[in-house]
Amino acid sequence: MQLLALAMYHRDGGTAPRVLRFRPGALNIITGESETGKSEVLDIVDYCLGRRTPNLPDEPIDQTVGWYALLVVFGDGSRMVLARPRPAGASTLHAMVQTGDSRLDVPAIGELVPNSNVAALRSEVSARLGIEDFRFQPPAGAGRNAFDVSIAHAALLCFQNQNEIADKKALFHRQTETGMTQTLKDTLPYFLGAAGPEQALRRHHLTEAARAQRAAQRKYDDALRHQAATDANGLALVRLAQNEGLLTDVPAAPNTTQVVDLLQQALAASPRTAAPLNLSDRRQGLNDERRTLRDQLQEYDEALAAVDRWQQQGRAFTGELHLQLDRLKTLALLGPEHQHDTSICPMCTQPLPQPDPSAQDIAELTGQLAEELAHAQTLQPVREEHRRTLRAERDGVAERLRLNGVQLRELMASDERMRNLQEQNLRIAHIQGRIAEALTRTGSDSDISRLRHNLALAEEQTAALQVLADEDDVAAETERCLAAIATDMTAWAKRLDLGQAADATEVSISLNLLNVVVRRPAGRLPLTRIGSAKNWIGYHLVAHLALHTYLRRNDRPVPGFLMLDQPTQAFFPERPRDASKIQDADWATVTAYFTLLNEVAQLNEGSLQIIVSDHANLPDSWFQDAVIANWRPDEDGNRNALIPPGWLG
Amino acid sequence: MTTTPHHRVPEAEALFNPAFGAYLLASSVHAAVKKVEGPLPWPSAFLVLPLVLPEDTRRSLPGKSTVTLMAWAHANPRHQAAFAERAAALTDYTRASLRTALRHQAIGTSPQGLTCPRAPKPSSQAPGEEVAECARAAVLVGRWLATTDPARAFTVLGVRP
Repeated sequence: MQLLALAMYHRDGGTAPRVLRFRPGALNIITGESETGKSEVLDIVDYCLGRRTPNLPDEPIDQTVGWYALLVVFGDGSRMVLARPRPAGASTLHAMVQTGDSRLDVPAIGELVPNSNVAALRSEVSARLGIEDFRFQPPAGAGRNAFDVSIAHAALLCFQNQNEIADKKALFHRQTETGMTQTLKDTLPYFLGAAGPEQALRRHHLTEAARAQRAAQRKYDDALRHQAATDANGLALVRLAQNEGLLTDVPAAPNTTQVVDLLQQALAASPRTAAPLNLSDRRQGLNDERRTLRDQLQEYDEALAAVDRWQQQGRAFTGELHLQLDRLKTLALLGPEHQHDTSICPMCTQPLPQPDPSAQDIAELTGQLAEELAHAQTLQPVREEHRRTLRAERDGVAERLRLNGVQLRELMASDERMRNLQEQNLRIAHIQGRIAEALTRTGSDSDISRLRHNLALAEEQTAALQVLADEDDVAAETERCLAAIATDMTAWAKRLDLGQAADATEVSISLNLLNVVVRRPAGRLPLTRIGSAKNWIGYHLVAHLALHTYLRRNDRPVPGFLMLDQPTQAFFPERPRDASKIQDADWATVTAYFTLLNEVAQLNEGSLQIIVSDHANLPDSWFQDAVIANWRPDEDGNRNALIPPGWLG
Repeated sequence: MTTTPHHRVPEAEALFNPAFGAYLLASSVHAAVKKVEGPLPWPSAFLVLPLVLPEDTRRSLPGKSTVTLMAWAHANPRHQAAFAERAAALTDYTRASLRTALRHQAIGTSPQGLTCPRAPKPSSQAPGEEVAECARAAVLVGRWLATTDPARAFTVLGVRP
């Protein structure tokens, strides 16, 4: 993907847009005085590519511009317009996307309508670039969130603003922002071609398998603990059963099998029953009555529920009829029918295979339906009456049941002996219940062996996936890519005669430091320990030029442009108004840097576009050919800048 | 139900009566014409009923037209996927509804597309809440279609014009 044009639209909607055209596949130079908007070009491109937090300056661009649009071209020749309105409040997420072939150009101001948002814009551009659909999966336990790799991450490799290009501590765009260092380390291997969706998927499967293994381990441990507890419990239950007289012959120290046997005996034993006959009969009578009443109550409840269901269905049916009737009544909203022949199409005046329903037909249907609805609604009151009767009868039964309960309680309270017996029976029932429960839980040896088997399977699967993930070895593959990039970097650093480059064996990008490292016989030297802004800029240049040359050679899904803001800033004494009028600048070095930029653009044979904003304006013909904008006053002293002077009126 | 009425109106005949479709199309065309002060392209009318009538799609439509058709389609891939089939099933109904609307002069035609000779009754006068809901959705869809070129709208929704 390369840039063809950048357009800015005045907020008044009438003025012709300001369009800055780029030359694809070549060096593009924007030269000019200070404060003419050279640096803003980079921020605007960054914003049009879907950056959520715009970094645009307040004055005077934000005062006048209503829309920004970027025209880009892809490797297959198709074009895309990425436009975004001036960021203000929530509209920051709005965007417009247009796609087309080689005829697509910067849109007219009237065509600017938000038809998309930032997320959709990013996913369309990412898909065009060929960034595969995949979520980056952080390593297990890393405490980071998974994210979808997109143009947002690829774009980080395409920009260097004026502070970044001279930063000795950071190499990439926005690297010093919170969390960006990790994002760059996570995505760079993918963009270099060292890691892809398959690796991420394998790592995801490994995380899942490890989780399954932990779950299996926990279940197995629980089962083992449970079994140990049951053994101790069993003996305690045997003693309790003996105390209640359920067991008579208990050995002093029974083993596990004996305990199980004894528990089964205790479960089978029936407690003694002795109760006064008359009380027992009375109680029996009350209990029988209670059972009958409960049955009756349940019958009433079921009948009431049926009536309720019936009523609901009725309501649903009439509701459906209402819906149909409402839709038919829309006829009244349409106004009178002007043409009554419904067997002929009013547009083409051809006869129809089947005549349309006329207003008359629809009115008739409405009448039928209304009648049906009225009929259905007459049934409601009858049903309501039936329901009231049922409810009254049910309340009567409930009252009798309550009386029965009071009587039973009275009877039970009347006899101390009776109550004791009741309590013992309750105690025995309780103990037997606990024994029954304990017995169902013991004998789970087969469960434990099943769980042990599950655990072994899970461990085996995790190990197999671990081997696969290890084989990927993303780190080693990334090192190999970086070593290939280092070849160009070393040669170019020597050529620019950068500090410490003369006796270096290798100049490379370190993925760990995310910075340039110079390897010498005397030891490694990171960029932070090399002096002079001239060297920092030089190493940044060779690193990005070599990285992009590598990406182009290997056809990686990173946009094929590199935007550099003021790579020669260190060679001028102060912020110059016009660098071409300064005599004591280091012109030899400036020329050397620009010559390298031009040669690398040519080396890539049209697949790399380099866009540079700078004060310098060299007289050489190749340099003048590359100038796409010269923002210096003309002979009459008229201002020339990114924002046309007329807009500031 | 224990009570079977003496005659039954066929459900589909009532639910998909062309007067209802005509009212929704008129509401949609009116909203579109008002938005851009120009007629709505003829093919766009075939997108209205499939977006408005299925209950699930209608419920997922945004409350305001500040969310664009593209953004909605992006956020609702399930509805986007089902759309093509629904649109095909409702084509005949849309045609019959358009004819009825023309006969009642609720919709007019011009060489550039569909016009709206007079404003249809607002959704607040609809005979029931479900009809009002459909009418409101039709107005929103009308505004969408007004600002979206038909070919693009059809592509986004996965239908061939």
